[in-house]
Order: sequence, then structure tokens, then C-alpha cells
Amino acid sequence: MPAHRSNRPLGWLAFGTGGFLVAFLLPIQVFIYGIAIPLGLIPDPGYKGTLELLQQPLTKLYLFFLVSLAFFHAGYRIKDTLADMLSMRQMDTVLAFLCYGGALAGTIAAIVILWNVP
Amino acid sequence: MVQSLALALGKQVTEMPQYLQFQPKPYQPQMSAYWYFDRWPYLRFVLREASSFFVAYFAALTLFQVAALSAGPSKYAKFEECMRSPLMIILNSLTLAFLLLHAVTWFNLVPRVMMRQVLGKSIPDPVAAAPNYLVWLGVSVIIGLFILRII
Repeated sequence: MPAHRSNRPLGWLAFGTGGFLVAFLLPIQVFIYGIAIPLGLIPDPGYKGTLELLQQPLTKLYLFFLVSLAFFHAGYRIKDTLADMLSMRQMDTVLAFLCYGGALAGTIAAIVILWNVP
Repeated sequence: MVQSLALALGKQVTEMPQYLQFQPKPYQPQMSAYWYFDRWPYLRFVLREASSFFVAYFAALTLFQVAALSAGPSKYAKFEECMRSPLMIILNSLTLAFLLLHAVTWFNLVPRVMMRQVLGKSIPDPVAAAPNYLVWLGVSVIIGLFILRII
């Protein structure tokens, strides 16, 4: 048993779960909210319909896990991408602090925003 | 070690020669800042990793949408108007392209690893990845129906 255990698996777990959720759930949302509704390809449920959907506790729970894990997934990859692309491997700790800090800030923002849904 | 070797050979230990001409230098590999343009697999790797920027962007956009909904009908109308601008349409199309790249690479990778763990042997990639695509299709239809308030 090594005296020091790496914290790497913890980051990877969030990355893996986030990547899984993002792959299955996000493309259809990008298509509907980002392209199809703005272009008028499909009928827009509008303010009332979308708010009603959002007010369901299950929707809030779904959005919380999706958004939070998406942030952690992205943080993990952005950290490694910046380190590789800009040759900043020696700044790994700083990058990890910034990227996971950003993901944590996003998670807190998600809690506050979802909590304040009327 | 040198000493024991010398003993073994029954010879005197001689002093190490001092080389002046060839000093050891630390190996410092020089890598181009644009290494990812060198080969297509490198570029594909970096594009896949770059999908994470778009994932973070869309997660943040979703939070903006929720906040706009909470702020009332006029704020949400403003949000929807913003989403109709050509710049946002282009950005969101790019986001969709990157997310599809993420999804496809993820779906193809995960079963390949899992099948080897479970079955102890590999099976053809399209067969291994097929269940993922079926689940993806089903989940997408269900989410779409929820968003459009049909179910």
C-alpha cells in the first residue's frame, strides 16, 4: 500500500461520468435549443411551456448533474489540452487549480440558479 | 561495480578518462508549437479534446437560459432573440459538430474497453459500439419529446 495515494482517479471519475452524460444527453439539446428552435424548424414551447418543464424537481436534478459534470468533464480536458498545446506541463498544478476551480464555480452557480427558479 | 569488475579481471582500477570534447548534455526534445498539424491523428486528437471548450460553453449557456426563464417572460424573449442572431446560430452549429465528434469518439472507445474487460476478447468495433448508438437514439427522442412538451 503506497503511503501517498493519487487523487487522479477522483478527477477521472468526474471526467468519465461527465463525458458519458454529455455524449448521450447534450447533442439533442444543442440541436433543439441552439439550432432548431431559433431557426423555426420546430414549434417553440415558449416561455410558459419551458418554465413548466423547468419547475419539475426532476428537471432541476437532471440539469444540476448534467451541467455540473459537464463542467468537470470540460475542466479535465481543458487542463490537459492547454498543457499539451501550449507546452505548459510544468504548470500542471496551476492549470488544475484554475480548471477545477472553474468547474466548482460553475457547479455553485448551477445550484444558485436552479434554486432560484420560481 | 567498476571495482568488482576490475577484481574479477584481476586488473588495477584505472582512473576514468576525462572527456573534454563530448560533455554530456541534457536531452531537450524540441517540439513545434503546431505539432498537432503534423499528422491527421494528432489533429483529430486535438479536435476531440477541443470539444471540451464547447461542452463548457453550452453548459454555461443552459444556465443562462434557466436564469432568463426565472427572470420572466421579457428576459426570456430577449434570450430567444439573442439565440436567433446569425452569430449564435453559427456558434451553436459549431458546438453541435464538436459535440457529435465527442459523442462518436466516446461511443466507439468505451465499448472497446468494456468488452475486453467483460468478454476477455475483442469483438468488431461496429458491433461493440452499436448498443451505444441505439441508446443514444432512444434517449435523444425522449429528451426531445420532453423539451417540446409532448410528454
